Amino acid sequence: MTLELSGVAVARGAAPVVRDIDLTAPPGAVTVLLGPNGAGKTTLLEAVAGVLPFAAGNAVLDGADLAGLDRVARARRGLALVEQGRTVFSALTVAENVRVVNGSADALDRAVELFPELGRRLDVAAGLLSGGEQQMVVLARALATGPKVLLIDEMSLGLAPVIVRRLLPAVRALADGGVTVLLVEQFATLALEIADSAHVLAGGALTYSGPPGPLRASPGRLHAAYLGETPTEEP
Amino acid sequence: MLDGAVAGLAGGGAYAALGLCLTLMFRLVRVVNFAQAAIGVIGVYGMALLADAGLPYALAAPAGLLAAGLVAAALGWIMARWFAEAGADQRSAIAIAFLVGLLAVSFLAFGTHPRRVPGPFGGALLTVGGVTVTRAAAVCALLAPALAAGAHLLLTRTAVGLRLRALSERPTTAELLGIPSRRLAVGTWAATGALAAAVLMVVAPQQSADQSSLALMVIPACTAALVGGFRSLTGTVAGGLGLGVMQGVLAHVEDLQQYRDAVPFAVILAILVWSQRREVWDAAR
Ligand SMILES: Nc1ncnc2c1ncn2[C@@H]1O[C@H](COP(=O)(O)OP(=O)(O)OP(=O)(O)O)[C@@H](O)[C@H]1O
Ligand SMILES: [Mg+2]
Repeated sequence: MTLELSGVAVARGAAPVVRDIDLTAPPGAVTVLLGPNGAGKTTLLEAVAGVLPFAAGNAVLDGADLAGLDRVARARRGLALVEQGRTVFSALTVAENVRVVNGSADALDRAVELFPELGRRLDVAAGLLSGGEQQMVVLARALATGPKVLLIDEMSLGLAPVIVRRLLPAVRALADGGVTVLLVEQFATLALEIADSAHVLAGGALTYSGPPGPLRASPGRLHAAYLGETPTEEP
Repeated sequence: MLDGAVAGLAGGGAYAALGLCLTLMFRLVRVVNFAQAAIGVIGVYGMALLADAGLPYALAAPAGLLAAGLVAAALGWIMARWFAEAGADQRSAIAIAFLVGLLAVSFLAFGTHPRRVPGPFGGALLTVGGVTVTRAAAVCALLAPALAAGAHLLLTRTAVGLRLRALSERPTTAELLGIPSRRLAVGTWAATGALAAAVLMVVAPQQSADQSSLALMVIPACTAALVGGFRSLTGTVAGGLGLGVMQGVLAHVEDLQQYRDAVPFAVILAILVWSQRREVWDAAR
């Protein structure tokens, strides 16, 4: 499924946060969205998932306008948001966190296959796990919904780089399997390694849109985009 | 004295069962549902109306339960549709509006005179050593623990229960995972509404049951839920039964009889002061 945003603006209460967002995330590709703290990355993803309303513009998922669908309906169409900040159901066990979205034994097997360390902790309350383990539960839970479009917000926040180096290839593999991935990431260099295209959001607007190569090759280019100095550039 | 305690079990069982409805509602849909008993009143009076019209009890009672469930579902839908993002405090305030509205509707629909409510649990069950246990008291006292056990099993052993627990902890996240929050919330309202009606159908035939005093049984029920911290099912049952027994004993002591209805108030006050003290203590450390 292709996710297509055109001219999207999102506000929080009365305050406009992002504006004029044109972005296409095609299936089978990892689209990364970078940007400094407070740029509005989370705000944009939350609007796409239906937590916040769009203030302007169009968001289309596989030909269907998202504006008319609430968040449950969007989830049922295959959109999954991995929220920022390890949002496990802490009172539920690891196994229950997966089972609540998908009761099949298969779903749990796949989760353990992807994250073997969860296998020993299936009956532990998710709230008692380490931060990294919780992030694995959150990812496994999102995957158990069988997403066609996966929005991931700061998967690596607070995680050891070793773990991030393991999680990112898992994300790449999902995209290779045909999933549409839109990835927001603090570790810009690591994210760019697995990206097919990149966008930089700064001060509420996109300051770079294009292939990841130029950003990978030149840290100066990335910094300039973070500071909002580079004009939007089509691939 | 023992006589009083046993008689108090009837009321206590009802407080406990209604308290369970309140605890479940608070945990699952974030509301102190002050209209809980008022919803039940609609069911009881609906049943009485149908029974008066000649319908056999075996048909009138399920119809009453259904009516209460439907009214509760409608209120739950209003809450889910327009106040989904509101906090528990605001939603509870709206529940007070529901209570007032339901009482008005109930007086309009059923008249202001108390109705005789038929019931299958009249008379004494057994008399041991001069202490009489009525059938209603036995049913009430057993109903509450059975309900608590049933609710516990539902929440821990079923797929619906799992979804309800997820939803109660993180509603937004649950919705983002495709869990149909509105449908589950309306279902929770409907189920607890029908339960409240069932409880009042056992209690109402035993006393002169006017609509406001039945609807205000939500206050001792709140006390019971408060004993369980609006979280613990066991605590709520213990709180309700304990409160009923205390009231029953007081009713049999000549000098204290008049203070009987102040017991819930005193218990609420004591719990609040105690929990406050603990917070101050924690803060001091
Ligand atoms: N709940 C909220 N209410 C009001 N304003 C908010 C809220 N959350 C974020 N904001 C504001 O919206 C703007 C964008 O925040 P957002 O969380 O989308 O940024 P971000 O790019 O995800 O940042 P980070 O990298 O720190 O996660 C910020 O200016 C922030 O102050
Ligand atoms: Mg963010």
